[in-house]
Amino acid sequence: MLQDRIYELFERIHQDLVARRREGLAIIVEGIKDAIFGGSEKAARQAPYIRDAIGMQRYMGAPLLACIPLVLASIYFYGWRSLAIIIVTYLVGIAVELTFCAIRRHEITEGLLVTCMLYALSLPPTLPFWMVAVGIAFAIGIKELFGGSGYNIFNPAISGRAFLLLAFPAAMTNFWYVPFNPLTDGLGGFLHWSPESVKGLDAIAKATPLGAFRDPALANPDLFTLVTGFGRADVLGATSAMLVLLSGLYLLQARVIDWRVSIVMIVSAGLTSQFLHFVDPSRFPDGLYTMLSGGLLFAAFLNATDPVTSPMTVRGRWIFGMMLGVLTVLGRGLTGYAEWVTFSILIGNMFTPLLDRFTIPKSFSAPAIQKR
Amino acid sequence: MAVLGSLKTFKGGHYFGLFEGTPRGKRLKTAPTPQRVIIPLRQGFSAEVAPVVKEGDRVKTGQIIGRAEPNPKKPSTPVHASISGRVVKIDKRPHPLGGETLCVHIESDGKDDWAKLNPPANYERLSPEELGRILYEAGVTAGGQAGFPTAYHSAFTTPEKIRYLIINAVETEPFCEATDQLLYEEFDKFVNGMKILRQALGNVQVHIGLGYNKPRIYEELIERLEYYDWCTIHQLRPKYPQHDDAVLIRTLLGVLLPQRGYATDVGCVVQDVQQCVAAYEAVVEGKPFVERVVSVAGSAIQEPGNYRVRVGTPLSNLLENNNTKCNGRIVLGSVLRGQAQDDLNTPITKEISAVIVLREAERELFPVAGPGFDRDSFTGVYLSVPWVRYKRATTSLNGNPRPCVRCGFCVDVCPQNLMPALLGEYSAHGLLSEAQDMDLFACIECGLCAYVCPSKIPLLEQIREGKRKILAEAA
Ligand code: SF4
Ligand code: SF4
Repeated sequence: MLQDRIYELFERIHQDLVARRREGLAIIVEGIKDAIFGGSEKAARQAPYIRDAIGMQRYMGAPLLACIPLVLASIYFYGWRSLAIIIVTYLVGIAVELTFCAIRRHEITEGLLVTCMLYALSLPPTLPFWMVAVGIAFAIGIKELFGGSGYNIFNPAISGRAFLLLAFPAAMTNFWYVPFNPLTDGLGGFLHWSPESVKGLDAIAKATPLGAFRDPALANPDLFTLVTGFGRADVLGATSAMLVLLSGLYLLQARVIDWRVSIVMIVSAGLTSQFLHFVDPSRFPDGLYTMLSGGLLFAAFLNATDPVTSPMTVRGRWIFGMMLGVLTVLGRGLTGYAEWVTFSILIGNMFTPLLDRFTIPKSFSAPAIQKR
Repeated sequence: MAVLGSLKTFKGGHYFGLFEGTPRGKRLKTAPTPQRVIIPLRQGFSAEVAPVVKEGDRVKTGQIIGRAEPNPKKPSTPVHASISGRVVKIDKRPHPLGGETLCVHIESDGKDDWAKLNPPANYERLSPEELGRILYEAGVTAGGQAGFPTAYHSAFTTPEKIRYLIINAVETEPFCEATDQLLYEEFDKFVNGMKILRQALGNVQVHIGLGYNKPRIYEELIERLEYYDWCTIHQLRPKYPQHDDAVLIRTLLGVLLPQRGYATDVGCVVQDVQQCVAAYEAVVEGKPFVERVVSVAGSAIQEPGNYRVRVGTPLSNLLENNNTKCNGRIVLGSVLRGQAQDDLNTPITKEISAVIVLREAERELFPVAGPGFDRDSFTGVYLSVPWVRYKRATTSLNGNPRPCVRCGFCVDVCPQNLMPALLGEYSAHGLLSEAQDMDLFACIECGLCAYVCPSKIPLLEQIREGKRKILAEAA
């Protein structure tokens, strides 16, 4: 059968490469083979003899699936340039990861695909391609320096974004596109490269909704705009709160993300903000506005829930989620800097090992009886 | 009788789908009496006993072929011949549940002559001591995870120390349907057997843990036991591993089992449906416990079914009669915690409630794609639709083990509230005291953590290895 022949071909190339001591290439070949066959032929040799159908491929596939509507929406809102950003991210990301894998002889892991997707979706649509490339190279590089997927302390997608914020603050925060609006623009971005290529300078927006809140000269977008994203300038993936919510709900039901991180983070941010809004309405928007702006939903559902860099215990997750929510609101209000979702996740990541250590649950057992 | 209305369950665990090759609702059939049986002289948790027969001796069905002097340090129960015939060999063989043990090989004479006990006509008048003797002589006391205590030291404790008899009528092990079937078909024997066991323990309180998926049995039990105040029925969600002693006792009584301890340490005796029926047959019909119910199941079995099988029947007998495509992997008892067997001469013992033959994982093209209607998963990434009745039980690891992504699934499912990811990691890296500090010995080895792990880390194996190392160091 064709399938068997392809499999054998891969096996042969792999053995050949190992025999010639080219382990780096061998790992890449095996990675491709496993991508095609999913490693389905490898069976459990120890108890338990049946295993859950979930594998790392499917596990990491779920966030990708959840991102498809967001990708389509970003193409609609900001034209094909947004797809180009995603493609550049993947090309550079995969190249960097493969290099590391080949040098350090470890296997390629699926987490990379998710990292690239989340990174790309959290960029402004105006960002120059070379900056996109630098950011993802940094993100993957940092992850690999910590020992690769599973050992990294910082969320790779977020660390790439944080790097860009520090290195190119102007490009990351000052230029936005007014997205195509389904109410007026018909097929919108599906027909165009970017809003700028049609409307010229008219397409440039000054600020995201969070920026608008800070700037007295700009009007705050209304609730409809915030929820649907029609006419709301924001990063690629987080323009429409509605769609992000949809993705989040899918991931929640798939159990790939935990509500104790995501929902807790969103709710605690909303409550904190609502409370502080009574104290100082000029610095703190009301709860709903906070929840719907600044990529909070996107970060809570897709970034903060990254399993590797969030706590593993139930109580740890509660604390982590609350911490992130509160930190985001306080940071935004007190420093006037809009990017606190990113930073609070990085700070939270630093506390993850600590949280895990101090929230180990008590087992359901009594102490051993000294006898026998 | 107290009937507890609310459904009880425990934290963690997993509801398995109905796997392809599960003999659900198949009536019990009697397997043909084997030509040859191999009977291990160590049963379950009991110590090994000495043979009382020699090569060449004639034995009858139900005759004692091995016993030991009662010894409180080494609980044991006599071992019986399960067919009549001639002892052809006594040798050391691997025990199906691990380790080596002496085994008696008996060749059938085709007659199946029984050596029955002579129980008194009315068991209700017997004292606990007399009942205990019959149960001991009939080999019933070897069952359960910790044995059944009698004056003959068949368990690590004595009947006086027991306060509760717990009846485990909730089978949550995938593929194991035979004991459920026994409950339906031998309901009378079950109820009376339960009374006998209670009487043998000195009329203790009885708690019945019954699967919520058996409303008919529930109704009938209420009808039969309505006027007794010694009995409490609990309805339990059929979530794996509800049937495990530690989990069952915690759910029913709220008592925590000590680490490395048995049910008997907290004054409980746990017995399952098979034990109750065996007790009835011993005390009323005089039949020693030489036949038990076994499910023959799994994806490689063409006609899964439930059978009454003589103890000591080699696997080959069972599997030949079932049109097995015997290319699969044979697991005894539990697909989650059991050990795979290669040897078709391995005998069925009193503890084995199922023989499961799984198809080997096959290579597929893009197995991750597709909706996965027939997949069973802890997660919701597959569309396991209700109209695909049987789910696929996969042995596939989906590639090489990956590093732990700390997804926390293992923490979520662990019925003992442990951190399997850390226990496994510490055990694998030799950090044994750290593992012990995190209550490694509270693990009941249910195997769920390794089942759900998306990185396919062999957590159960790592944990067992860690326990072995600690025990070896302590010795
Ligand atoms: S289930 Fe596996 S990958 Fe997830 S935390 Fe446990 S050991 Fe790690
Ligand atoms: S750690 Fe032990 S008790 Fe917990 S899920 Fe794993 S095997 Fe079961």
